[in-house]
Amino acid sequence: MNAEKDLIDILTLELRRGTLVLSVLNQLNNAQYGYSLVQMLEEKGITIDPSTLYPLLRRLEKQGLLTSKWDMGESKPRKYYSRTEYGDEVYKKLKGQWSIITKEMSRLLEE
Amino acid sequence: MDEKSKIDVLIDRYVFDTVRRLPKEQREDIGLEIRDLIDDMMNESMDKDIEKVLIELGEPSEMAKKYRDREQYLIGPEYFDTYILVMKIVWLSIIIGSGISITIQIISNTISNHVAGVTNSVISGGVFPLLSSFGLVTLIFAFLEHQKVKLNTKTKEAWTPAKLPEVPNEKMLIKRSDSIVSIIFTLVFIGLLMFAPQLFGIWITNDGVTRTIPVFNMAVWNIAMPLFVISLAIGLVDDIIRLVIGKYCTVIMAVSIVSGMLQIIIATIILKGLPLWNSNFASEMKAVFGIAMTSLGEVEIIWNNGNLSNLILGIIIFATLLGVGNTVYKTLRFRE
Repeated sequence: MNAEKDLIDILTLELRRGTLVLSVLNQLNNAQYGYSLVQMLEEKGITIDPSTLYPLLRRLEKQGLLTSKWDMGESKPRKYYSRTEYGDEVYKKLKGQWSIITKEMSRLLEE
Repeated sequence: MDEKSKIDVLIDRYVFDTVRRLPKEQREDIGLEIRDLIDDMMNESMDKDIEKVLIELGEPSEMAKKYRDREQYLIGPEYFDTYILVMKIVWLSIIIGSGISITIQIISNTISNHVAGVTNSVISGGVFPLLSSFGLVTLIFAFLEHQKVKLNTKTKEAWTPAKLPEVPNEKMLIKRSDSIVSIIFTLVFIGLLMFAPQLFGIWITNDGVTRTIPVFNMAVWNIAMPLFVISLAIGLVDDIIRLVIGKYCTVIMAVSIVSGMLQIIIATIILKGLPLWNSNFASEMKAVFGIAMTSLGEVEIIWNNGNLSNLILGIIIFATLLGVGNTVYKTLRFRE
């Protein structure tokens, strides 16, 4: 049964992977830095590897959804990310897509 | 003081080992990011164990992989199949070619001292070309992969079902193995004809001395041989075309007819136009074997008055027409 558990873990991970971008965009209403984002998501029950999140943030910035700024203040420099206007638009549309998907899936899984 | 620098050393090493795998422009930024992250994770952890933190972050190679934009392939999935195919063809050709060459050298004794000589030939004539061709083909495909990655943004025509090639009717297919075997035999034959015609004959060993009584008349060999080779080469072209196209069609039919006709013509020239056979053959046989004159006397008659040539020519014409006829039949029968 160990093999079954492993398989379920892998497939669940794949399910969750699809929701990552939406979760991240959701949490970036205000400017956040990488690690704080990790912690905030943890609190909401979403586990994410920092080594996955950081490159993801860079990618989203490259795609124009986020913008970053180094904050030199306090004890050490931190890189803060926040959504761009374009990011806001895309986020809204993605949210819409998500409700469609969840409706479809609920209907499907009830049959 | 000592403990702190130990941690710093590890962090420095980790960051260095990660960012060195990434493009130059990104190194500083990502480096800072990682240091930041390690710092945060250390603050979070109870036991401030730097090694645990770094293990949690993962191997630098894995970390770098996550930061990369795209996969790094020497030869990516798109080109790999073609690459393997080309490599197979090139290697097969080299193996066959050097195999023939070495075999001929052994037979005609141009390699002295068999074991050492053969090993040397195999390495220089066989292994070396294989290795260097591997490098060259790989280099070419790696270059293609690199260029394609650059061209990725260019749009190409969208695929439509209209572009699908026809499914060939099974009976229409020409067996690749037949073509390949035929090509190999033809190459070997050409090689032998060109470099060791005296092999075609009877071999006699007498007190450790081997000699051959050749079947062919060596005097006209410098006319006969090129004609032989040309005829075989025509057959070779026919086979290669069959291998490439792979199914019966008008082109194959035309090539088959043309090559068949040419081969018959050349065979006629060689067999009827030249004194091809070694006229001393029968008498040399007699001399060596010294057996019953009468039976050999008959052989001599057959040999020297052209019946042999006619016989062989007849066989050749028959076989060629049979082959061409088969091709024509298959092509016409299964045409849509």
